[in-house]
Amino acid sequence: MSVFTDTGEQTALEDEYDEWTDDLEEDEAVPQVHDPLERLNRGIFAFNDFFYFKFLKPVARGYGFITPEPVRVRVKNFFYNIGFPVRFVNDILQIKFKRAGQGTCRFVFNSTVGILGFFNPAQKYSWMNPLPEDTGQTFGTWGIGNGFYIVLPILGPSTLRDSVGVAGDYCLQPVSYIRPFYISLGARSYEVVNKTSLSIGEYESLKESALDPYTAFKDAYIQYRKKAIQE
Amino acid sequence: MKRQPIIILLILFFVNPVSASTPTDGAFDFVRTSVNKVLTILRDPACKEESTKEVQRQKLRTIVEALFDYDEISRRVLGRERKSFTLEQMDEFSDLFTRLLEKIYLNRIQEYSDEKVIYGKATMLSENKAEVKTNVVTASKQIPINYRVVYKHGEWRGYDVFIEGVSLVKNYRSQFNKILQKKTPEDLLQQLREKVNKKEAPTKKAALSKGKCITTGVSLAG
Repeated sequence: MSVFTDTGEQTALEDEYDEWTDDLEEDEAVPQVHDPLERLNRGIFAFNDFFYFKFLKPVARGYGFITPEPVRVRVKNFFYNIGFPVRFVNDILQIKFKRAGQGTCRFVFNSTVGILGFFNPAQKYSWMNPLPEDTGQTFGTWGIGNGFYIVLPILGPSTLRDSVGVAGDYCLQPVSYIRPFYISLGARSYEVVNKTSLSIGEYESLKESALDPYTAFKDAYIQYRKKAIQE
Repeated sequence: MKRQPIIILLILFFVNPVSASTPTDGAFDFVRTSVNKVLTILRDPACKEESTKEVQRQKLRTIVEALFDYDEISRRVLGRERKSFTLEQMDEFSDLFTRLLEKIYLNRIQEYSDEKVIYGKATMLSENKAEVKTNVVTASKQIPINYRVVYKHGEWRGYDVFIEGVSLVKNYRSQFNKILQKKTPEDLLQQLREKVNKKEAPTKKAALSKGKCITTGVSLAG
């Protein structure tokens, strides 16, 4: 049966294990997300890593040094608040009308009482904080599979389905419609720098704890998205 | 007739405390007690003193060892692949992986040690397994950390941690599977040895936790 049958003790352990391998083995029966572009993806992964350490992180650090944390949290709140159309449209497309209503209440409440969304008074009321939905998740709930794994330059881990979703999100983001184009791009970049300044160390610690960082991030992304779609 | 409701109430009053200790409560208490112990030590103002650092680390190790069932985790993380390991290799793997997980878990929780931990619900996943939800609330976000625990040999032990919906065991399993596709168990062990024995860069993490110790000290003094 296995190489462990030579001692009684090991066999006992083995049996106990076999009784409840259940949930993980079940998961493995589900087809894995393929990675036909692995070589290219690993290249882009290396580039993103370089970009993070040599550019994004130093910029975010410098920005964080001159901007107090509470201000950065407000900025993050503001950007989250104006991303309301993305969540609203995707709630509707997923027939989650209750969430659409809750999200609308949050948007109205934070835009007014929370002064254009810089503050987050809705945080105190758990019903006003539905889980955010995006276009990739909508495709997922419609039964569309991941396709295959893609690492996008700068944006990071994604799949074929979620990359199309990112394009959908882009169309639903009010910031995308700011003209001229470079101001829109500047606003998006600022959002990323601001967000990064609040999460320095997260990428590093996940990378540090991995034996094969590329696979670790791939698996984490797939698991994370699967959970987001289920909810 | 009139007295009956009172008697029933009395019975309920005495019976309830016993029946309240359901399996989910056991799992919940187990996780909460263990995590609180870890946090208490991490927040101890004495941790800023270099001399007590090793003692603190040792204390933490004892608690974390009681929190997780490392043998179970080691077997689960290798899955079917463990059949290509010899007994000795399996022992060494279990030992190395334990040390790696300890390091990672403690570093992770150390980053969040000044934040608030909110304990959520415990739910049974099967007759002897449960999930205990916790939320770590920081200034800018909430991080859900869920513990999966199993009841065996008369006690609860953790067998997986889900951070933001990502299973630690599954994540390592995917990496080990990937490595073992092309390499031997011995190669994997070598990689683990290097990883575990690598001296941690004593840069910002040490500075960060040091800063946190001082803050705690000040807030306690004030």
